[in-house]
Amino acid sequence: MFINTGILRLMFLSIFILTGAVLVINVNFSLGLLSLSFIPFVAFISTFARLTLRKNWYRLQQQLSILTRVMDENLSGVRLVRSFMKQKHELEKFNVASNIVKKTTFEQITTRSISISLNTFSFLIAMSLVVYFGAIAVLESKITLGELTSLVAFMSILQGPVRQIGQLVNSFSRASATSARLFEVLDHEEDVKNLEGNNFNEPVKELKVVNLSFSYGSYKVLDNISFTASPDHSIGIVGPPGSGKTTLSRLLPRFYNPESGKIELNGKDISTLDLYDLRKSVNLVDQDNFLFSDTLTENIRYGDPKANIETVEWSTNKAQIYNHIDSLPSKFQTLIGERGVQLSGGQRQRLSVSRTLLFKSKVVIFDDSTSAIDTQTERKIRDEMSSLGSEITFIVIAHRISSVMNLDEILYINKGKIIEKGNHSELIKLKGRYFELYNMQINPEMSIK
Amino acid sequence: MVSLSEDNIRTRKFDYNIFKRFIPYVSIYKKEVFIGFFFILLLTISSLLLPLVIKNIIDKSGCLVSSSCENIDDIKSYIFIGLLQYLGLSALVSFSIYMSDNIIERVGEKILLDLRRKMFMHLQDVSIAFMDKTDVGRLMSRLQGDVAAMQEALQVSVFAIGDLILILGIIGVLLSMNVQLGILTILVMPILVVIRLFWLPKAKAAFLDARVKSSATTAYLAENINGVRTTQSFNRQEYNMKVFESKASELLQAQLRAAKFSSIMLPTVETLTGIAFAIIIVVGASLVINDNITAGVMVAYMLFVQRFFDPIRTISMQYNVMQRAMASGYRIFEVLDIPVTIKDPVKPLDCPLDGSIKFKNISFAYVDKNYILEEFNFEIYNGERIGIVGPTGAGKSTISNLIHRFYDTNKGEIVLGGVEIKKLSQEYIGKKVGMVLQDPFLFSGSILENVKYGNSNITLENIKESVKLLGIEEFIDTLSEGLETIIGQRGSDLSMGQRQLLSILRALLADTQYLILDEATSSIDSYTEKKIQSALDILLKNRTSITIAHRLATVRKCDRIIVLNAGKIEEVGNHNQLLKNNGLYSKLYGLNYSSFDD
Repeated sequence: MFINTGILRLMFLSIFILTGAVLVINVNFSLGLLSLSFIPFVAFISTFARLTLRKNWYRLQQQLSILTRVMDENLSGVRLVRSFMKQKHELEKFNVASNIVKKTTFEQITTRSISISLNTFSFLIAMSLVVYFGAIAVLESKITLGELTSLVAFMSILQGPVRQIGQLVNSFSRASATSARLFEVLDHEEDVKNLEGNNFNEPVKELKVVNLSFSYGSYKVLDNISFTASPDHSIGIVGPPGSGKTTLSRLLPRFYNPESGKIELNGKDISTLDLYDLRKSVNLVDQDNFLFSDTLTENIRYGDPKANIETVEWSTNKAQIYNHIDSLPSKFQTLIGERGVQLSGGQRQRLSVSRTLLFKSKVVIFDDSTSAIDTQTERKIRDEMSSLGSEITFIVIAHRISSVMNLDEILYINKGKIIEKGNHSELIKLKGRYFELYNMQINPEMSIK
Repeated sequence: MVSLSEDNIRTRKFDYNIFKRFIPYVSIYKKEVFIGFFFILLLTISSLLLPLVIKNIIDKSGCLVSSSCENIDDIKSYIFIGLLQYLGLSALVSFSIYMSDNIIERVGEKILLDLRRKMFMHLQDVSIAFMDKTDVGRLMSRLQGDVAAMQEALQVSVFAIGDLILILGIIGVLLSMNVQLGILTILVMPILVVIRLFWLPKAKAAFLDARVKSSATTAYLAENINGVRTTQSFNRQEYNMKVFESKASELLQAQLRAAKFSSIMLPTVETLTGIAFAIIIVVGASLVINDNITAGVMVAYMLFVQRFFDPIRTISMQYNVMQRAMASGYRIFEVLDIPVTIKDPVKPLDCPLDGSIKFKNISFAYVDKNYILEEFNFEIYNGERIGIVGPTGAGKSTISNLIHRFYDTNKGEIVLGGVEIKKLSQEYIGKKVGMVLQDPFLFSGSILENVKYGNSNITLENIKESVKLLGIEEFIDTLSEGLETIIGQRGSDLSMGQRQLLSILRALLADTQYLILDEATSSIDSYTEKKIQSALDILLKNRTSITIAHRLATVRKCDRIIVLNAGKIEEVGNHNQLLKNNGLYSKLYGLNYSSFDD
């Protein structure tokens, strides 16, 4: 709101004061100067107030965001709070954050009211001096009564603007504190830069990962990972939490850049390819399957908003969710989220699979994204996907052996390193970690000691 | 069951009931409000007196014109007294501005915080049933935007009362100085009122439109920031940008229209002030010449007329702010009125519990008569390890919800350790029954703070022991700062499996007599789960526990496993008994698909 009216106001005020100054000084030099004497004071007080307010606005914004987070987390984690019955503790957190906000706000209020009050005071003093010395001058016939009247009239017109300066200063400092935050965001440099122009529209014959490494701080999440996937050679990846599986899945569509090593599509380094083309070719079905608060149709055709309804139905059919959607009262027009339908974990996963199906990528990565779907249905979905043409390359990250056991090559990752690889029967023969995992899941009678 | 009304109603007619309910929040600060009001009054009166002092000074100095001067020195000292009066009033005006501003704004802020705290406190007791079906964003907007609208209304109304007094005072003084000039000058005022009457409805609509569009744009932006990875995965950046741009440009148009309306007002007021000024000069001057009024009166008129229109503007704006506050107040009290359906007994028991759980004839439905559990009977003995498996919707999680009294049963009772749970306080249940929830929620902050959530007195050594026992040292070591690692909002930088590990650790550190693990290991690989299972063998030894899972392997070691199907117990027994039973359990087990579809 500051930008649209504030600046204009400020310009108008300056022009008004300047022309007024010329006029009153013409009437009587010393009285004219006296009638303007409050301006430097007002300028000084306002500048000081502006700087203090701006600093505090910035601080207040951050404190407010902490308060917001406390409230938001409390409400989102309501079950956790209740299960430990930690309401008192939560209230304490709220009070602490809230009191910090209160303190800063009070400082702001004090600064603001002091500056408004001092501005008015300096104006009124100038006015009183003009009237006093003006009246004496009239008595001594140095100026006429009319001239004194015009001086007072001029000052009376300035009265309103002086009162507005306080507000103006406040919104000005707020605007500049906000814009400082805005520019922080705008100046943030993109880590993943798009080299436009290097188009990539060909079918993917081969996806090759070469000596890939990645670290978070000093901790190496991925350490020299290499493998090759193709439409005829699907890859399964298993391993404990924190082994680097999810990081790997996010490097393939280039959500991050690797620290060293490279990923190649048909022999071309993906960091040289146009990002749009890369992500059109390589699609990740994420663990956190984000759905938008929109209709089912719009969610399914998220990647291709122009897709017709038949295509949407087709992809839900393949993802084994058509029957469920068809059973809903508003069918495909059902809204997801807030006031829409509540979906189970398995249903959400099938929806995100159908979203990926419709997008028709050549490389599809499942990152534990079918964990809530039973094994039979999961296999059916992948068979359906394969039957769309054999040109799809699958990379499947899973906890369930049954999700990966039929794939061409399985990698067992631990602490960022591939420690076993091969197909299911080779890995079983190896009698290593994969074998243990298999036994635990398929044949839980045999336990490891 | 209560639910919140729509949020898109921005204004509401004056409602005395809402107004009435707001009073107690203000009356806490009665004293401050009165003091603030006193200073507003003082400010108004002294502002009215200032021009009159100037009038006197000018009239005295103008004695030469009317050649009524007696003694110049007397007049000079009279003028000097006038200066002192003026300075005194100036100090009073400035001090009153400072005091009234400071006090009223602080009171406003305090009331805002009180209202917000009251809502927040109330939400801590509102049933889970309500929280489950209410979007957090909607509650947040009530805790923030609506509360701020109420605060604004309060401040504006206190100042508006001062403005009203000021305007009446000005009219009175103008008329008393000279009726003829007074009426002529005041006549300009209705012009503004008429203009505003035409302006207000249109301007209001424009402002409202701008607000609605602004919140729609913000909502779109917020969702797309949350779903940014999906957006990038599906190359929707350009498409979304177009959608956003159309929303943003609609917003811009609306804002421009609103700005046009608000910018019309200032020149209008200035023109009217100019007209009033012209009247004073033309009419006033002729009155001065004819000796009907003094030059001082004319100057006083000029000074008063400057303060003329501000109050009219604020007062008519007041109506707008009030309507908005009514809508906000309605939403705030709606939150405060959500009934607390699950209440602690007046005199809760706090006797030791014997470790058993009895379900006596439990029937339960989330909505209407859609029973999730029907005539459910079961008894769990002290120290038993119970597993519950079954497909989605079988009622597995419902059982854990009921034990913790997140929901009350429709029929039947739950007896926890020999005491009906309705006779215990919820806090006591919380101390006795630990839970690892399906959604492993973490707070932003350090891992240490998170795992200590259920037991803040636990020592670091104890934590490290439990970490070791669970076999998750490796995972803790992979974090950059170990237990001191700060995790982002809701633990978003950790994988689901890692979040589950921490959530198990957190429940174990709380060291409760009962422990419920609800799909606690669903995202953890079998190898890690195995390690956790053997840790649980030790940790669950002296506790009564319930493990809920859809993976059969998770419950295999339990003393008794309940196979739940459509709210009924299909089979009960340990792993071997169930295998022999040749029922659902053994069928699934034999199929190698050792899990139910979620």
